[in-house]
Amino acid sequence: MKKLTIRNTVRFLALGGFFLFLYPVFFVVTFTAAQSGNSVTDPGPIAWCNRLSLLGTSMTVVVCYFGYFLSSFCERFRESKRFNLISKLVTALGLFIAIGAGFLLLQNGSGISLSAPFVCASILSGIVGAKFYYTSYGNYYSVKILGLAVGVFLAFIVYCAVLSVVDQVLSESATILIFFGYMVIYLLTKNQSGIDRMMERRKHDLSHLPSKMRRYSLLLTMGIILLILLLFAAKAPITAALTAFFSALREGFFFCTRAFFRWLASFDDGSSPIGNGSEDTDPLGGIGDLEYTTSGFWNILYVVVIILAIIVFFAYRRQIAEGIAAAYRKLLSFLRRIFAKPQRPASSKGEESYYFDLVETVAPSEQKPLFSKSGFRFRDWKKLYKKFLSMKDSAEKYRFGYGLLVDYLRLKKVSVSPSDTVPTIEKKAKTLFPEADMTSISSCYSDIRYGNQDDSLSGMSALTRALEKAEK
Amino acid sequence: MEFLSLVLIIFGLIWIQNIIYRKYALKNLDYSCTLSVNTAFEGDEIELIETVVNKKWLPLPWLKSEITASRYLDFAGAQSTVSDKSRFVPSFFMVKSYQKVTRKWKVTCLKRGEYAIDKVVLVSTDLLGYSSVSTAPSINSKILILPRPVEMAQPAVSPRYLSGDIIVKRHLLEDPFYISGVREYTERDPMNKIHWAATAKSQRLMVYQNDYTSRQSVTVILNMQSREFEQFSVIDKEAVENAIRVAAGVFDSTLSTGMPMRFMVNGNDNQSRIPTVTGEYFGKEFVENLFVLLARLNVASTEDFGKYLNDIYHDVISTDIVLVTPYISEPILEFIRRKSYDGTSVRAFVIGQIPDTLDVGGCAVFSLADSFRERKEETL
Repeated sequence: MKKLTIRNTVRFLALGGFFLFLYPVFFVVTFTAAQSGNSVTDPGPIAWCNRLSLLGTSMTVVVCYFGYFLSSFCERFRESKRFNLISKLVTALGLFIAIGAGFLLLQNGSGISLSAPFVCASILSGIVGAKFYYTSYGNYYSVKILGLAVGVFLAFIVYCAVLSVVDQVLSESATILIFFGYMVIYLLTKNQSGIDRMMERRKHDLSHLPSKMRRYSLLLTMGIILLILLLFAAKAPITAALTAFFSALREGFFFCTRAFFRWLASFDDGSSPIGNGSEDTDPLGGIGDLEYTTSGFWNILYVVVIILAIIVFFAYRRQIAEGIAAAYRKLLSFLRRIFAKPQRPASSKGEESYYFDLVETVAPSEQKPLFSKSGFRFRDWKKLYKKFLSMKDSAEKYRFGYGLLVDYLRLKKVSVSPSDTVPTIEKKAKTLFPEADMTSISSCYSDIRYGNQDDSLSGMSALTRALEKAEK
Repeated sequence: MEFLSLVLIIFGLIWIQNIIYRKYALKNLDYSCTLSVNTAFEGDEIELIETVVNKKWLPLPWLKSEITASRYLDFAGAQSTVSDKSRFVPSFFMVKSYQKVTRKWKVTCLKRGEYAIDKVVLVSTDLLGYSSVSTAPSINSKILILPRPVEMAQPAVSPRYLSGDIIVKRHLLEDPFYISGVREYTERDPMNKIHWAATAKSQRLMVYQNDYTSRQSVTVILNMQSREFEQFSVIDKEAVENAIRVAAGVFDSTLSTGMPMRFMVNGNDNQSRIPTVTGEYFGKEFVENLFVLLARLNVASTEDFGKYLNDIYHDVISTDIVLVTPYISEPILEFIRRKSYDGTSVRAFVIGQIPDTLDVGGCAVFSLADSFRERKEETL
């Protein structure tokens, strides 16, 4: 019996979850059989189909596990010739019995149409289960298999929609639950097998991976699953809120358009077909006309409030985001204080402790602001550049422009410190402006900055060209 | 609609988490990898410190740093993969939001030389393993491993002269002819050393301060050839490494005598074919510089040792010579005999065995083969 670890648990879960997508197949088979004797809308068949489908699905899952453990058992005796001979004889005998039983059933004909899919699916699941023993569990849910499973469920929904029993089927059967279970197992399997795959890529030994990493990764995946559940549970209010918002926007737009056309119509002396305001010539075809005359003001107000809210939100987005981030950090530190464990040297059982880990929380002073200025600084630099262009040629403009040049170097991650001299900055600037006449720019700046009044501003044109190139 | 909304929510969240991790996993993530010291001796245990700081809300459940270092920095045991010259160590981290993880690896310095942490690659992935991101942060961490000096059973140099012309920081006796100043009287000072004028001036008993002087100086000559007939590249590298350790032991033992020392070797620490020779100095700082020089020496000889000794014969004017060589041969013995005849005290430390065919009568030649064999057996 293998050790009960996260990896082994997820592997066994993945094995059992693989055949959950057969539920809708069984449902269709049993529903078709029920249709031949009963009315489609009769509530009885749907519940009966649900029960049978669940039974069939459970049977395939059990047989799948059986096939897996049979492979595990046979693997131990792989080297034994006697065992191999006996297993071949048993397989041949089993096939002979199966063919014979099938022949007798066909001859008899009772219940064959209903039991055949279940029996075939079970046999298939047993074979697949036996094969899965030799397959990595990460390969159980490839993209193709997932696509097939989701396709089967979607096809089932379409089938129910064609028969106009979608709502009944979804409410009385376990379709959504089974699909959700299948996806949960898929997510957990992908999470753990993804870790295995990243380890196997560079042939790392799995025992070198600390077990807390698997636990934490699994925890985050469960967080995603919880979020799915919450969003699904809240889908109705979210949908209603979005519908109300967009319908209010739509009505407000139509109201404004109608008011504009009415204003245009007021200039008309009656000769234009548009001007008389009759419903026949109303360009909006009279959409919601009565509604607008009574509740248009409130719709406008509603839309204006929403637009104002959006503007305020956009203007204060940094503060709002940083407030949310600060609240999140406070919540995290609060939870960590409650669930804090004593620090231990990091080691795995059976291994030497090659290293020691010290885990700390990042101090607030070390935390970067949510919106760092670097993403927006080039925009600010461009604004200052425009201000530079609008200034009259003077020593003050030259010094301002030189400062812009140094700011540009910093934006491009060239390290410029306050202690750098003009020749040092010239050398650094040459890396970004190889074609510019940095010598004359620097000498003119030195003259202006350090006393020798250079009225000619000989470096101004070179400086302007360099800044123009930087702006592009 | 319910089923469709469930499908949309699930696949939407899978897609969003993939995008978030692909874009932000390695942002606002600071990583550093440094060694705890800049210099260490062979066999010393130091620390390799990895620091990962996650300065964002997004946790990283799986972060791997692939460290490529020199194979002579031994750490991580079975977790590391050793190739010809490099050691690859994967280091797995789990970093939560706004968390800092400092990992200290125990590192053993195996062999002398200058080593660096060559490269580190950070790899992360999203929750479902769909995509991975990687980056290579710049690492600038070096260490110089100095040769561990061998404890000499035989003294390398015996002080023979109690005084001389060269002022040294410390010796057996003060030289009464070299006065460097005055100091306060202590109970052990004789009465004839009292400086009366200084005593009258300071109103305290003051005596003459004498310097230490020495007439002895030593030249340590190291042979980087492991066999007599060997051209440039070394065959028995272990013998040469042991010779370097013995040379370090000689420096260490000579330091305590305070004698000025000079070092000559038919090897160097660069690609040229020019042998290395230092000036004649004494003191701890100079010996430390010699250790650094030994640490950086290439395991290769610039020229044949016999020819080398012949070339430097007249340049070596010290009172004492210490030869450290992996082997002994007739040209070396010839050099020893000639120098001894000239009045120079010569001692030779041979790493290997002294062949019976050679006549070492009258020469101070010592074989260290047995002690190195015992050391090797202890290590195994």
